[in-house]
Order: sequence, then C-alpha cells, then structure tokens
Amino acid sequence: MRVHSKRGILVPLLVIGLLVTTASPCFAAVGAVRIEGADRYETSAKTATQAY
Amino acid sequence: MVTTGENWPDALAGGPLATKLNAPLLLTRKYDLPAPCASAITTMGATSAYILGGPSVVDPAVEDDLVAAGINPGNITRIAGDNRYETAQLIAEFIENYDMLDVDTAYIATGANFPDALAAGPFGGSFGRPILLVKRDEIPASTQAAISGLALTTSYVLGGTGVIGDDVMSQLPGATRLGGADRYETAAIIAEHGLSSGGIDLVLYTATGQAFPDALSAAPLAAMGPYPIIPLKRDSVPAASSAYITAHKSAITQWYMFGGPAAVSSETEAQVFDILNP
Repeated sequence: MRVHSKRGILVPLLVIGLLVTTASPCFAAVGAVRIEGADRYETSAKTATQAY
Repeated sequence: MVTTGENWPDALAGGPLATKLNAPLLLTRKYDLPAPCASAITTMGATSAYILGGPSVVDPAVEDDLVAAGINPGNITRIAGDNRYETAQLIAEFIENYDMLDVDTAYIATGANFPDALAAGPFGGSFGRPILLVKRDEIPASTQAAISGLALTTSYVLGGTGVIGDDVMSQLPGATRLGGADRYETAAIIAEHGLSSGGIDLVLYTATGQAFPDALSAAPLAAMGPYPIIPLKRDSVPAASSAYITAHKSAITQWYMFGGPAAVSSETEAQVFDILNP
C-alpha cells in the first residue's frame, strides 16, 4: 500500500519533470534553419520574404 | 532595395540603408530582375524601390521589370556615385536626411574587399551608423566630404592595419579600431562590439565569409535585433567564429543559415550544431 502510494506521487513528478525538461528552450537542441535558393538571387528573395 | 548580385563594390554600404528604409535587399542581374525577386516584390506588395548603383551595374531594363512586379514607376529612386566611395558617401547622407537623424558615428571599412563592411551591416542599420569606405593609405575625397558633412565625432575602423593603415586611422575623428587577424576574427570583434552597444545574441545568423551575396541580403533581417552575422568557411568553422558561438551558446535559441550547402557545407553545419548543442 505504501509502495503504491509512493509510485502515485513519483510517476506524476517524473512526467512533469520530463515535460518541463523537453519543453524548455534551455534544453531544446538548436538546429539551423536554412534560408537558401537555387542561386544568390533566389536566396535573397527568400531572405526578403522571411522578414517582410 | 535592389542592388547588383554580380559584384560587391556598390553594395558594400547598402546594409544600413536597407535597414533604414525598412526594406529587404534583393539582388539583381544587370539586365533583368530574376524571377524569384520579382515574385518576392509582388508577394510583399511593395510599391516603391531604391536601386543601389548606376546604369552600368543595374541597367534601366531592370526598372521596367520592377514596374511589372508592382512598383510604381514614380517611386523608383537610384542612389549611385561615380565609384564605391562616392556611393557610400551618398548613402551616408541619405541616412542622415531620411529621418533627420543626427549621424555622428560611422563605421569605416576598406573599399578593397567586402567582409568587414558586411559584418557591420546589421549594426550600422540598427544604430544609424553609415558605412564609409577608405583605401589602406588614403581617405578618398568623397569619404572625406562625408566625414566633414556629417560632422562625425566617432569612427569605428573595421579591420587590421593590413586593410586600413594607422596613418588613415589617425586622420579619422574619434577613431577606435575593431580589427582582428583575419576577416573571421574581425567579424567576431565587430559582433562583440555590437552586442556591447545594444545588440542581441539570442539569434545566431551564419553565412559564408568567402562570398558577399548571402551575408549582404541577410543584413536587413539581422538588423532587426540587431543580431551579428557570423561568417563561416564552406568546409570549416573558423576559430574566431567557433569562439563566438561557444561564448554565446547558452543565450542562442534560434539559428538561421543563409545560403545552401554549396556556400556552407552540411559538414560545417554539423560542426556548428555540435558547438551549440554539446
């Protein structure tokens, strides 16, 4: 009964901890967003529309 | 804003101008506006355009293409000097007159190559500091005219003594050198200086340091922070760029890479990823 009670507390805490860890930008991997075209002209056009 | 994608001299000082105009910077061929750029103009609904450079680099035929894309024929303005130094002078004066900003500080870059001027582009636009161009051992007359006309009190000299000599620096008002051993170290020094002046390191912008187009067109976007643009080699991460990324990795939450794998290889991208995500 005591074991079941501890598990009842620990499991939600672990899930919350996992969610906080994976959702936090501090722990999320930062990968490249490539802004690229077939050539310099298309790259400049894609860069322009990215912002405006 | 439209400038030639075929060579860099006319575009060197363009980053701050595009930012001041709150305009993207599109690259064009001499005789025709590339289709992706025309589509971008139509998509954005732009009705006015500034052309950087004279008819020898951007032919009047491009103006017709701009009109076809939606630009009002009466709203096309050319900014062009007889040479790169005069073009930079005209841009600096335009920036001061555009919103009556009192420009008292400028970045001084070599007119003989592109990397140093491009590294300063985002900060120049955001801080209202134009980029003026000099030769290693000479301040051209048009640059001197800009210095006097703007009544500059502070100059940030970009690059080492190999690109701008001490004699030239001694003639500039309130000069401080932001220079490293090479273009990558100079870019990192400019980045740190920009951050100390109010720039933001939350977003990492990277582009090749070996060609001008990608970093040039990224400048107005990066100026929105302003965020530094960190140059990379195609097949490696230069030591100074790596040191910058390492020093700021805990703050960086987004990373934009301009240009495809032909400009910066996938292997180099992976190296940067590993620095950011140890």
